[in-house]
Amino acid sequence: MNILVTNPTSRLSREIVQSLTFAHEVELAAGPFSHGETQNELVKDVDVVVHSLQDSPSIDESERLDQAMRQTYNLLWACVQERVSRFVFLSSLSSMKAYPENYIVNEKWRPLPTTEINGLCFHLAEFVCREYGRERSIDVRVLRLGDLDWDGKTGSDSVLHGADAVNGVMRAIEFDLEPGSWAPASTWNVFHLQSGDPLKPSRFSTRKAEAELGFIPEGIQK
Amino acid sequence: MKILILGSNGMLGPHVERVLQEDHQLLLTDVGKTYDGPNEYRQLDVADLEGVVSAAEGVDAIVNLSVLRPDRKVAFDVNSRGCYNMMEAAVRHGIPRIINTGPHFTIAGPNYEDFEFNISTEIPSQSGTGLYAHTKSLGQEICRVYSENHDLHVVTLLFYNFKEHQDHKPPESKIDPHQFVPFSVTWEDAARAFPLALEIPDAQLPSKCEIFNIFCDLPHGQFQNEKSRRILGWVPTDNLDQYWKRDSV
Repeated sequence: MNILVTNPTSRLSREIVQSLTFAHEVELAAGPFSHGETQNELVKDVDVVVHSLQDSPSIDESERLDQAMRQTYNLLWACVQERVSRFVFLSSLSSMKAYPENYIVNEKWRPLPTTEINGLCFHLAEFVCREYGRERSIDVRVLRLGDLDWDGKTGSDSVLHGADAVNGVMRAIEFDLEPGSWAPASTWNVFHLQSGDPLKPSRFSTRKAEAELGFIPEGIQK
Repeated sequence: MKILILGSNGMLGPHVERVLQEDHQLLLTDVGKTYDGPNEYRQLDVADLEGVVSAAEGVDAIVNLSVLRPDRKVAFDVNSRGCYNMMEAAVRHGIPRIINTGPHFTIAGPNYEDFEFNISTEIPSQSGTGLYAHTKSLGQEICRVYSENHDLHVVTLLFYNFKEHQDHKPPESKIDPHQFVPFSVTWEDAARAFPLALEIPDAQLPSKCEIFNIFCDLPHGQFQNEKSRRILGWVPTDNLDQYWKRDSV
């Protein structure tokens, strides 16, 4: 497959590219994503786009919002025009953290975003993705990632080990979803991804990702 | 009440100004340089966060009439980020009442409008990906999230098609009932919703973010305006029947 991964400054993007290059043609692309012909050129003959939002203290809130809303819209618009078949957006579980910690929250629960700018941007980018998925012109998959941890030192109750994150993204890229018994597979899917903990259950249920994508979290390295 | 109006030089702005200026102190703002009228005016691009925050200092309410349709960059800047800037300004200055506006497909996009009837405002938003609807819908979602996280109320008024009052109605030869949109209202009736939206007590609003369809009483049954009458007390005065009724039968 031809795969385009955005956000080269992110370690996760770079790790995804490294894992994909063994079996796929991969390009890493930086924004800003405009709406001109060059944008269509970027995704021409691409099969899957993996998109995430750039996170840097040097980006002000207006630019973050522009990236989350307009640039995500532009990228999806170009993907639809060029018949890209799948769009994977890397979001965050932050919008689900307002629920009490003892609730087993899965993808069926309503997001409760706050106005903290990073969380709000994830929510608004999901909002853009959802309308494209609803129109069924592209297969949109949102992965709500737990708190990324590359060195096993994060104490979060919704930690996502780096290797598990890469594994989950790879599954979302490569796996075709099974159709339902009376309907085709949905073109809008949200999956929660976090690493398991051998000592306590995950705060956020990852059962959907396990059942439909074959996601198998390896757990936090103790 | 001191009221900041964003996008006051648009088509609806002068009508809203007219119904508010007697009872309220107005600060009108628009991206345009000029304004010829009796109220205070400031040139302001709603996409300028600090500019909006500065203009909102000392006001009691904000009315957002800003809108831009065709240009993709500016549509997101004005329709979506403009709402963020307005809500940030409201939070920073403790402004308790926001009036947002938009087209009906801010929530009821083609998935509803092309298929359904009896469409109320109590539906999950589905704008579709059309630029105008989608950018306004994002703006509304920003308003909703702010209302859920801060001590303020958002009242959103949705419009679609505006008509002249019956005193100024076009000649019969120019009326085509097949072109009539069953979500129409006169400019004057539309403007009369604004004082009601500004003055309704918080306790009379069912939630901190309420949406109202503003169109005249029509027999088509595609959309509902009953909630606007019941909660806001808005009563349209012109049912525009010259557009959908035959005199000769």
